[in-house]
Formats: sequence, C-alpha cells, structure tokens
Amino acid sequence: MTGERVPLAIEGLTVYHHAVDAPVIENLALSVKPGEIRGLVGESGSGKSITCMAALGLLNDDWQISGQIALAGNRTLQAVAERRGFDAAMIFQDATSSLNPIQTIGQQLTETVARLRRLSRATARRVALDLLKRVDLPEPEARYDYYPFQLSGGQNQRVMIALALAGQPRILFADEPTTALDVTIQSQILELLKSIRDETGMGIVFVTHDLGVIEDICDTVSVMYSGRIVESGPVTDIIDRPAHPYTSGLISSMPTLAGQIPAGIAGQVPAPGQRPTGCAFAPRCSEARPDCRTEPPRLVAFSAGRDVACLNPLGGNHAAEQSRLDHRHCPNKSTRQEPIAEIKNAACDYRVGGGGVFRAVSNVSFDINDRESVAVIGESGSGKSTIGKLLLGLEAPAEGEILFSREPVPLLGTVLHRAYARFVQLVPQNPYLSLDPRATIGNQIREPLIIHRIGTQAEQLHKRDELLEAVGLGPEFADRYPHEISGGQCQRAVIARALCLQPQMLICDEATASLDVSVQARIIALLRELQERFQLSLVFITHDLRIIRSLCQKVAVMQKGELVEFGTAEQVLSTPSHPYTRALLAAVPEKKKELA
Amino acid sequence: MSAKANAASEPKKRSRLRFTRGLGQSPLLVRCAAVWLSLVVFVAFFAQWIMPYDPEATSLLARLEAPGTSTRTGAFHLLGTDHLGRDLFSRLLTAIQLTMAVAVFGTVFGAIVGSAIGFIAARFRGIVDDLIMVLVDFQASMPFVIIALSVIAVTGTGNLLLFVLLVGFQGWERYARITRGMTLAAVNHGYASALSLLGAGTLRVYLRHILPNIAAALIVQITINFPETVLLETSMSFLGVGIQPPNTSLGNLLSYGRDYLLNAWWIAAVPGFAIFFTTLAMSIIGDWLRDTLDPTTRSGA
Repeated sequence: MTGERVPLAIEGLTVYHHAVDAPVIENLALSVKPGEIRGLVGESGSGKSITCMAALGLLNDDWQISGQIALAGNRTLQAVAERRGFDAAMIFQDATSSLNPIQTIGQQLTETVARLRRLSRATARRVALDLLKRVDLPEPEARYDYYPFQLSGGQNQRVMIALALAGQPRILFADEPTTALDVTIQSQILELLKSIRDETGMGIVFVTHDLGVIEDICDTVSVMYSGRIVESGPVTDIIDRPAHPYTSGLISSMPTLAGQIPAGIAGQVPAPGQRPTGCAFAPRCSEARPDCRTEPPRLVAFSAGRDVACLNPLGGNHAAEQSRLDHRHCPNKSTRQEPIAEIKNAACDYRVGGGGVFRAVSNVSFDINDRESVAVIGESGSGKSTIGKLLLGLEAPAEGEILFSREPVPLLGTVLHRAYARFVQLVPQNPYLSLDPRATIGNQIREPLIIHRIGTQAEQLHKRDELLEAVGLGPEFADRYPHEISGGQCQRAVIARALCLQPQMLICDEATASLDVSVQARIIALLRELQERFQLSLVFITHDLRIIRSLCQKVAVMQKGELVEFGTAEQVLSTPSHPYTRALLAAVPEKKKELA
Repeated sequence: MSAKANAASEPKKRSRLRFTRGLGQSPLLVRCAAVWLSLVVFVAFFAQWIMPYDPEATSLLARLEAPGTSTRTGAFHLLGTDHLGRDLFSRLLTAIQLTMAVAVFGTVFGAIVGSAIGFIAARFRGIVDDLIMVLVDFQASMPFVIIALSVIAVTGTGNLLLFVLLVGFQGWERYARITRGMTLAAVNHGYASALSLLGAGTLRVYLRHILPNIAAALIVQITINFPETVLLETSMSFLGVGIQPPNTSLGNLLSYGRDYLLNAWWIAAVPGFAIFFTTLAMSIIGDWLRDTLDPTTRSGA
C-alpha cells in the first residue's frame, strides 16, 4: 500500500454533518492499487457516495472532514480540490443531467482537455476527438457537434467517461454509472471501463448496489454499512464465502436468473445519529449475540487479504445459499386457464412535435390468464411501459383492442373508467412520487374507498388497518407522512392503496427498480404472498431479468415496440428462441455458472 | 443521502395541538408579530367600543394638537388631533378597521380568483391555457392603478364593495401563474395521476391534493400581496378615488397628513407606522406559517 503513486489511500476518514450533528462516515480506510477496480457496495444510506465525494473534496461547508485522503500520493486534504481532474475524476449515475445541456459535447470535452492539459484549442480538439474514439462513441467526428439531449443515456455516459479521462487521472470514482442503463448497454460500459483500466493502469472505485455488477467488473470489494466498512477483500472470495452477516444478507437478496427466491434483509439502515452503540447491523442481524450490542466491532484481518468487522463472522460456509428459500420456481397455481386480459394486435401511437406520430407499440398480442403473473421485459424504448398504459386505460390503442374480462378497457377520463379502477390498479416505479407528500399514509390508503363511496367510516378505517397489516406495515403507520418512512415502506403503502379496491389485476411498472436489493427482495416476496391471498393477476413490467423467475409464470419480451417472444418463464429463460432474448440474457451481470 | 437518513428517523409523537404548540415555541419576532396582528384584529372588530371620541367630531379650537395634549374642554388626545381638530387616535382605530377589511377581503378574493384561474389553465391546457396566459401577460405589463382608475371612472366612487373587489383583484395574475406552474409540476409528480387511476375526480385531485401541496407558495404570495393591497388602497384614497369621507382609511389619514408634515408630523407618522408594522407583521407571520404548515420542514432534523 505504500508504493509510489498509489491511486487512492484513505485512512481514518471521518465525515461529520453539522445539521445531523453526527458522523456520517466513521473511521473509514480504503485504498486502491494501480489497475485495481474496487467495488463499494451497500444499501442507500450506507455512505458510499459521501465517501467518494469526500475523497474528491466535493462536500460543502455543511460537512466536516477529518482523516487522511491521498490521491495519487498527494497527502493533503487541501490539495484534493486542486488536483481534481488531474489525479481523480468522477462519473455519475445520470450522465445526461451531468452534462451541460446548452453546449455540444465536443465543446465541453475540448474545454476540459485544454484546461487540464494546458493545450491550445486546436490540439485540445484533436485530443478530444481521440478521447471520443477511445470511449467507442460511434462516429465521433459527427457526434462532436451533438448536444447531450441528442445522444442516448449510454452514449452520454461514454462522453462522461471521456471527460473523466481528459486529465489522465490515476483514480476514477464511478458512482452507480450503469444503474440507469439497459442491461446490454450496461455490459458495454463495464467492458469499456475494464479496457480503459487495462490500458491506463488507473484505479477505479466502483460504487453500486448491484452485486452482480460488482462480480462482473471488480477485483476487490468493500461492503459498507452505516458509515463503516464491514467487510473487504477479493470479490470472488467474498461472494462465495461472505464472512459478515450483512454481506451474506445482501448476497441472498440478489435475485438470480435461476429463480431462487431472494430473502432480503429486514429493517433499514439506521440514520446517522441514531446508530446503536454496538455493531450498527446488530438490530437486523440474525446471528447477533448479546455482546454485539455493546461493543462496536473493529475491522480486523479475517483471512488472507480479507478484513471483516464482526465479532461473530460466518465461518466461510455457504450461509448465503442456505438462507435462500428452497423453491426454485414460482409454482403455477392458476387452475383456471381463462384469460382475464387480452391484448389483440394492439398498436399505440404517441403524438410527437411537429404533428407526427411515433408508434410505440405495434401488433402485440398476448393474454394474461386469471391469477397468473406475466413479466413484460425489454429495454427502454421497447414499449413495455406502453403495454401497461394500454391495460390501465391511460392510452387508447391505435389499432387492435385491449380486453379485460372480454370488455374493451375504457379510457381514463370516461365514466366507465371510474368503475374500471376497481378491477385494475397500478404499482408505479417511484413510490415517493406517487404518494401525496401532504397527506398521511392512512388517509391515502383509505381514499379510494371514499372516492367510490364504499362502506361507513368505521368500515373504511378497519379496511385501512387490515391493508396496512397485509403489506407488513401495521396500523401505527397510518398517521405518518411519506417522507417519514423509507422507500420500501412507501412502496408497501402504495401496494396497500392499490389493493384497497380489491382489484383483480395489478400492473407493476418497474415497481422494485428504485429500491435497494435487500428491500426489493422483500417487496417481491410480499407481492407473491399478496397474489395468492387476494387471487391477483400480475403484470410485472421490468428491465431486470433476474427477478422474473421468482415471480412470474409467463414472460413477454418486447423489442422496439414489437413482441419478439412470449412463453413460460422456464422456456424463455432456459431455451430462448429469439436472438434478442439471448442477447438480453447474456448481458445480465451475473456469474455464468448460475445460468447453467 | 442525509435526507434519506432523516426520512428514516423515528417519527415524532404528533399532537392535535401542534399549531398552538408551534406558536409557543416560535421565535420572539414571530410572537411580537402575532401580538401586533392580534391587536390589529381586535381593533378591527371592536373599534366602535374602544375609541374615546367620535372620529368625525371636529373642534376648530383644538386643531393640530401634538400627541398627549389635553384641551381646555378637558379632552385628552393620546395621538393629537388633525387639521380639523378630530381625535387622531379615534380616527386611527376606524381607519385600521376599514383598511383591514378592504385588505383582508380584497386579498382573499384575489387569491381565490387568481388560483382558480390558474387551476383552470392547468386543467384544460390548449387554447384555454393560451388565452389565460395572454391575459396574465397583459396584466403583468400594465400598472394596475391605471386599470383601477379606469374602472372607477366608469362606475364612479363611493361603492365600497366594488372598491374592495377591485383592490383585491390586483395581483391575480401572480396567483394564476404560480398555481398554473405548480399544478402542472404536481400533475407530473405522479400522485395526481395515481389518484385519477384510483377513480378520483378532477375536483378532488385539485382541491384535496394539489392545493395543499402548492399552498405554501400561495401563502407566501398572499403575504406579499397583502401589503401591496394596503398600498393600492392608500394610493387610490390619496388620489381621491378610493375610500370616500366620511369613511376613513389609513390611506386617507396618510394623505391628509402629507400637507402638515412640517408642523404636525404625527398626522402622517401615526398611520404610516400602523401600515408599516402591520405589513411587516403579516410578512413575518406568513413566513412562519409556511414553515409550520409544511410537514416536510416540520419534522426536519
């Protein structure tokens, strides 16, 4: 670790937030060797991004930093900000909004190159073009004059990487750089980062919540929980034999193509300032002993190259595998094979600027059987969300028809649609956005009953408590506001509200995409349970192929508005017939052995 | 990340009395403002009973008396007298009564009308929206005093109800603009569409859900508009087309006092300070209200 020009060495980093009045990061050590890709993984609220921002000197005066941060051997905190761009650079999750929307990408890149490398504009332009070529942006000369909005998310992420490379940094911080991208684009970006690492020998800190991605790209991984590193070491070692119960919990939360039902971790990350005295994970840990609650464990050597902060580390057994539930597939409980919803040769158009139309979906036909789960998968722009909108009556089909119980689906805004709301409901992607921030959870769950004038007040309140219980929240949540509860709890509340009218079908549009894996696993389990209890049909619109097998019986694969494959989950995932399905499956970041 | 952490914190015990409890814990400035405003409200309701003299009784022997003087007839003038020998304190109380009535009713009227217009623009979009926004731009580019004067020129002076509505109408375009913009944002926010999917009607979505979410901005706008309404009333009265004698508003008092600034400064200063403190108190209370009514700031760290 003391070699010359170590890209990153952080020791004893403590980051204190004045408003929270508590340390957010405590005594953190992290180092990256030349050419090493170190994963930083943990749930949201564990301090991953704060660590990166502290290392780059990006935190403002609300934060107080102590400890040592050395970027490429420069060991002062003050130097960090000055050396930003030269020694270290960062790429973010949302590349499109990280770029200046009113400058062409060429201008932005040339300006940065000229500034960081002290070159004339003409030379800088040549270097910029080389960088665009280096990041495999197609037709770099033409794209040089494009604005960010003219490029796709993946292309913008390439531009961001080119920008990050402008100062020839020794260390790159990548904060969830592929989370917003489609799987196929994600695997291309991961390949690009690996090849740049091989070529330049720079170190990369790769922040993500996706252990599949960690496994794919990283050499070493540090698991963060509640502002501390709880485990670190080589990736394969840790994934195969996690020593910290938290790591094990994260691993068992990962959905897999093979269809094991993820277990998830109960509870949530404690807020800084409300951390327990002992091990911060103890309240959620199944292995916790009494002394875990009194003494915070220190990060100590566990085995060769591995550290763990746990008093009672798992003995390197396959705890993660054991904690998975045993069912391998989602059983098809459907006895009646009658279609509840039918999509017949449906097409859907969107009006675009200038009076033109854009055909989002064309000639799609498939049925959704009663009490059956159908996954609709595809990349962004494939029209999978449009299928959901058609089923909900948010859009009218331009051709063909959408039937529910053999009746055409009424359009939103019509009198019939009000009644239709009692049959089909939506669970949207972002639970925070779909709840009114100024109304209590309880009132919002009860509201559908008030709208449809069902039951007396006492009956409505009873139903509300029953639903809160059913989604695992409990009546005490009725008086809380959305911002007072976590994302997973919000999603549970949204599900409760959707179930309030006792619908027959739920449309889940990326319902778990914005949640941590540990929470996602528990929401999936909840949906499965509710499906049986309330005899629901589910349409699960998702881009994540790994969660299909544990939840759905049928899969519809969409590409560019067309249905390219439809069949049982077993059939589509094990013996895909369409090349696009095969490409999607191949791009899933996951150990290939699990595919077998 | 820290916001998320705050959100995850244990919820505080909520009390039905949080509004009053909030006032008790509020900063000193807010309490001073609240005391002043309650005094003004008290005066507005009970001026008739607490004024020592008839505000219209003139006494040519006791003209332009300084504050705190007693006349030979034994009358004590706490704030002095004006150019006709009328007791300034009594006149101040009736003026506060009338000005408050005009400002409160006018501001509330303007807020309701403006917000309703904004909601309509956001709900129907298209041609309705375009038309309303053209009117808004037209209004914004035209001094309201000119519009008010031309209306008065047609209808004549002396109709108090019309005057209140006219003064209140001032600033409607700002409410409309704020309401429209924030409603469009709220509709895209997701909870509005989630509610329509549950079968909720437009009125329920707009009034029960969107209005509380944009209320903070509207309350702030009201506190900005309130002093402006007072000032508009003042200037209209000053020009002789506002409140007509025998009624008296703070604006009337101020304009009478203007002629005597050098030898009887109190005639202008007393209503001037009344206007100043009332509008300031209103702004302070408005700020505090916005923070208190917002559940997202109330349970912050």
